[in-house]
Amino acid sequence: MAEVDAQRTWHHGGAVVTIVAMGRSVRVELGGEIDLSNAQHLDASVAGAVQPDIDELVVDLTTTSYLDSAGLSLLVRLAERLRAARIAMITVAPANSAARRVITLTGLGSILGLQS
Amino acid sequence: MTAAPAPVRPADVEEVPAPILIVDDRPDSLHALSAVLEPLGQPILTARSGDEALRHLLKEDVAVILLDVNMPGLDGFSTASLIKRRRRTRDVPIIFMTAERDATDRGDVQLGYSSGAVDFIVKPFDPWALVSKVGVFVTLHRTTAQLRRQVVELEASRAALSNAQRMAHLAHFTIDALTGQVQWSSDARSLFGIGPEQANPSSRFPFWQQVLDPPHAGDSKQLQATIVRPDGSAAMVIALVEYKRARNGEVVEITGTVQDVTEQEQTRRALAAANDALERESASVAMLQEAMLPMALPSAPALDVAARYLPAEVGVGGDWYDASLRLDGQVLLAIGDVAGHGLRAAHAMNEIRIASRAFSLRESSPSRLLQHLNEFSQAAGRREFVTALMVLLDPVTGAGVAASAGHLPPLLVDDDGARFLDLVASPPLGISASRAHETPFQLPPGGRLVLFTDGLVEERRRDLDERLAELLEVVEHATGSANELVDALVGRLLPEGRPADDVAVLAIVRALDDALRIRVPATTNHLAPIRAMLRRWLVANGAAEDEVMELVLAVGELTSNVCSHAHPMEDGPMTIEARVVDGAVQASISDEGTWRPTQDRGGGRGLEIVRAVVDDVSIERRDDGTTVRIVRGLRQPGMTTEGAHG
Repeated sequence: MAEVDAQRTWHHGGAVVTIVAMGRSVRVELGGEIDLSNAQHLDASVAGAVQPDIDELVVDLTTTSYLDSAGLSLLVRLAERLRAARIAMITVAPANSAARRVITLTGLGSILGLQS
Repeated sequence: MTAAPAPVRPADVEEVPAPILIVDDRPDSLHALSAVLEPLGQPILTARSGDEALRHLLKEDVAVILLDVNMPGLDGFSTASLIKRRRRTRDVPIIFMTAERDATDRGDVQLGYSSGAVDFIVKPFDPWALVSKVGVFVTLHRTTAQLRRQVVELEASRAALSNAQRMAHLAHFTIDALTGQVQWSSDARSLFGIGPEQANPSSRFPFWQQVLDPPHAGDSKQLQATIVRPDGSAAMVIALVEYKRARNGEVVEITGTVQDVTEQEQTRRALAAANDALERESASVAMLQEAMLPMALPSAPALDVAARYLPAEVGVGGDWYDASLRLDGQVLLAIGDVAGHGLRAAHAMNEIRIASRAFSLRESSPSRLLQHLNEFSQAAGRREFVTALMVLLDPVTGAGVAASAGHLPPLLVDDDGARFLDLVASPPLGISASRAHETPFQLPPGGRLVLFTDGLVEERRRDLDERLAELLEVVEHATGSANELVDALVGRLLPEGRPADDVAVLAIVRALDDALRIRVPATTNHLAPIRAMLRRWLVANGAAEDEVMELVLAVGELTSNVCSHAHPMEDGPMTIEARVVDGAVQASISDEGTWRPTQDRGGGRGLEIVRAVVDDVSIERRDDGTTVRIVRGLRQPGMTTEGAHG
């Protein structure tokens, strides 16, 4: 079990983002509701997680209760940045969750590395 | 008439600038805030540190300061304390900006108030609300400047009046009634403009007609008239005319003592005008005080909210009220009373209002909110008597919870009639460590809820119980909107207008039908409350979990679209309506702007998502706005038990 090196949490309106650094992997936990009111702010917090010395970044949407196109844009931009930096992206979202539904509806599963 | 000094003519008040000082260590914040406040048309000063802010304040008289709490070096609170210590800037309103919701955990509110905050806003904030708030202080600044000039003018007029009185001249004349001859004192000649050759005044003039018309009984009369001299100039005079009679009663001599009061009269009129102006200004300052109370009441589905604040005769006091739409779509209502009048009461009122707002960011339970306010009041060591009533109301289900700290309970009208909610009595704030109790209640469709302060019912000559009964009666028989209800209450209970004590009234009427109707400014901070209300409404109408999720997603996308680009110039409103017809949810999202549907900020995904989750989408574009309608059938539609989801 990888040890947590550092963890930071930010609140932005109705959403909370926690970034956990574990060795060469980073976990970004997005909780609550992500919409047009806070997507940009979250973007700023998440951007800081993309460091050159990591191999993979896991986006954890387990506690995301609302996600729409505003949040999706944020995730797609993140995917582009990670691809440019050759960092693997994995997105975790539970079956039947709101987040998973909207990702599959828009066919962005593979771009975001959605895990089955 | 040059004896009186000319009153000071103030510059047009519109020209008084009201500079806004923004203090934030982040340049992007400064930039964004400047842009948001630019429409107010005032000079905007920026400072990137507390030190820089203080340097600005050495040179400029600002109307309001926006101060970031988190700054390196001299932080926001310390900066505020220093500002408050300087006499020149002691009274400048400060609005604190904090970026975190846990501001209350850090005791920011306490620190903020004791550092002199007038308000607290949390980023990301609603730009429209910020402009309105700052705008109030801009107007207050200008009005205060005008008020100060009025006072100077008033004092000049008063000085002029006493001068005029000291210098009033007395003129004499004597008329021989038998010969008609008149003798004038020299003052009289100049007063009446009588030349050396003239002997008799013309009886054409009303003044002389009155002089020459002796009273039936008595020996004297007093006159006040405007006389016109031969050269056309006029003067206002008062005269004491005495009639000497012969033994048979016939008048033989008329003597008059005349005082020229023109100057006095002019000055008196100027004084009256200045007084009137001062009263009007005081009224507008009171209105501004009122404006510090919520300007826009939340618009929630099926809830019609109206409020009235009437300052006391003796001046602005400490009544306060607040109404806010929470992130979870519930409405929090607060009302309270700080005993006393004047600046101290207003200060205490403001302190409680800020604290209440700050605590309610994290806490929605009325009893816990009162507990926080209680601790806050005790820590502040205030000696004023503060009462408070908090009510949390779910606009979709009508479920409510109320808690009171020494305040009169709210009035509820439901199918059983009108009654006061039976709340557990609790002492006012700041007195003891007691816990407030919460009482649940149900506001049915068509029901009414009224929160009020005791100024509405207390009247020296009337029995309190009688007044409360009157209040019950008015509310029970009122039909129509919340505004009509408050009008009826004020009209019946305060027919004379200005009450003896401050009055605040908040009235809520719940609509009769089951449709969802929300109308709010199209700003992103309303997106979450809309989703929350829609969610509860859908559940109450029998929607299954997946149906709720997809419909909320669809409406979420459409409302986000409106916020993004329906009203690029200013924040127009958007209206969301939903009803269940023939087992399907029919919803519409309308705006009043001119949006270009091809500019979908979601990169084209928004509408794609909507089409994927509903049965039908139609877009109606008109000159005055756009309405998007969606329809989605429900598997098991039907209203669930009222109150089951409170």
